[in-house]
Amino acid sequence: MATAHHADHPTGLSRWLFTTNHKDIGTLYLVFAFTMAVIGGLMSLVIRAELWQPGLQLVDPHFFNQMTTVHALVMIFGFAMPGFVGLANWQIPMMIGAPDMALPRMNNWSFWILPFAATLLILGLFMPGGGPSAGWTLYPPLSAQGGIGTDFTLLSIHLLGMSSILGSINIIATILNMRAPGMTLMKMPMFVWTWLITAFLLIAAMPVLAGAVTMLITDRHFGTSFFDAAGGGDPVLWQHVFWFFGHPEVYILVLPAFGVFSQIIPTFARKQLFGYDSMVYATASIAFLSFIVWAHHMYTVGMPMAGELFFMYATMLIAVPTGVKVFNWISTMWRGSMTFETPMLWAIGGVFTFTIGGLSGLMLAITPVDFQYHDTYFVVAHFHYVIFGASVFGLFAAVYYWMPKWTGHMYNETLGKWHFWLTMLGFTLTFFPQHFLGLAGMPRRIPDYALQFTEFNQWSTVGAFMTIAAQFIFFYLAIKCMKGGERATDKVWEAADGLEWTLSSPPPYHSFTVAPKFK
Amino acid sequence: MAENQIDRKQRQRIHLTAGVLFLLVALMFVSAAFLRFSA
Repeated sequence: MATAHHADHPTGLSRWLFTTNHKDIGTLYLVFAFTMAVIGGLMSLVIRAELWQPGLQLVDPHFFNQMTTVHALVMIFGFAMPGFVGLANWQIPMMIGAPDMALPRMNNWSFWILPFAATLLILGLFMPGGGPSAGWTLYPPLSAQGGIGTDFTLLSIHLLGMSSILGSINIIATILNMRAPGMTLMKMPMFVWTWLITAFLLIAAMPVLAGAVTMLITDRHFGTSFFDAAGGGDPVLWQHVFWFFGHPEVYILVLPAFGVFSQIIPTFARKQLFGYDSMVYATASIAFLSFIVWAHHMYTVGMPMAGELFFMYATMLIAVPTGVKVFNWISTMWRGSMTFETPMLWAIGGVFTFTIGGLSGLMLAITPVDFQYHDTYFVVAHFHYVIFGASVFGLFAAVYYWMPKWTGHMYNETLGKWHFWLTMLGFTLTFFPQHFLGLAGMPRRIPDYALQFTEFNQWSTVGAFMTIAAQFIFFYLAIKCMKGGERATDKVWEAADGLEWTLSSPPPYHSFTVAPKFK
Repeated sequence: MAENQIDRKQRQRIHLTAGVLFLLVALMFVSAAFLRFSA
């Protein structure tokens, strides 16, 4: 009877609207994130179709700029961040042996802010004058001049930020207060550790963006001059404040993926994670360093030599803890009994692509070199290798790894592998040539380009369409897995380790109603 | 078997954690504007 009572929940729409259950909210986040990925993906196809050949053929330049701006905002704030919050919601309580998140009603609220924020963001495109076109960095004076579509975007960013802050407070409160008896901090799974650190990053970074956005709104509508030189303000202040948020944001997107890799690689190498303690310290070091490197995005703006040197060396220092992590993942695989199921493919692929993105980041960190590469396609290649290569690969790795646990069914392994390899090929075809385009001098955020850039751009466009097409396999596979298929065992993977694998597949609606024993 | 319910003490600790974090959020929010006023 107790089980029946625990499994009791409303059905239909009210289940999803009013739910305070971490699994339901996790599902809502993931569905929302992948819906936004489709919207952002279609925008990237508009960009790539226009860049198929030199000249203007499909869209006018103003709309092109709106596409690059909104594509980035949708992918960062609508896809990658909510995707990982969805994973956190599903997994953290199950991994630490808690019955739910610490603040379940706030959890419901932090999700339901998102659809409204996303609607505002997209609706901006349909306003008179169109959506924001200043790039996702929203630098004034351009962002101070946009039409009402820009206001929609700024309000939307406020809401998306609020949602992230509420989610982070919940995650920290859960991890610090609701671990199973015996699970000390240094015994937590790495995914939980990386999320704990990410949540602190969010709490320190998002309010700063909110402050900057508020100042921009008051500049636009209430006569202030924070960023208006004519009124005694300074547009460069925006860049400093924005990047004080913007650089930690990169790690907000990447650290949870590192946590995913650290869960998956030991499982499929059938070995314990190499250097657990150093992984924790490296993650914390990366998080700390992410707050003292922001001006490496602004070398070309102009700053004193001492400033340029400080930001250059501080940025290069990040390679040390990052190197520790990559070394540990490789050492975990070293002499392991490795198998290459789909989650492992995504994890290894993610480590590989992230390493390339990290190395191009090191190139960009060098001030005189950055003077050459700044605002070129080299930067576009670099951050897609980091954000797509680590975050999105990590997200897919996690979904494949835990989907059998969530649904109780195994996914189709053959289709999963096809999804990985086609995405890997499409991704490489899209973004690798962009390094060369950037080195040859093609600027970013332009709808037209010089003739000599045509060939690499065409490779890139073919790759983009291929990447998006490959995602249909994932959607088909995921829906099929939700509906049925071969039953998954409780442990799912032979060498899986952690409390979530002690639950049934799928887990009961209310799990760990009795505190688990943790050794 | 003991139900894995949140007791009063744990509830207080959760609220204390959330309260401190909300204060941190407010502090970071205001610090962005303070940069301008102190410049």
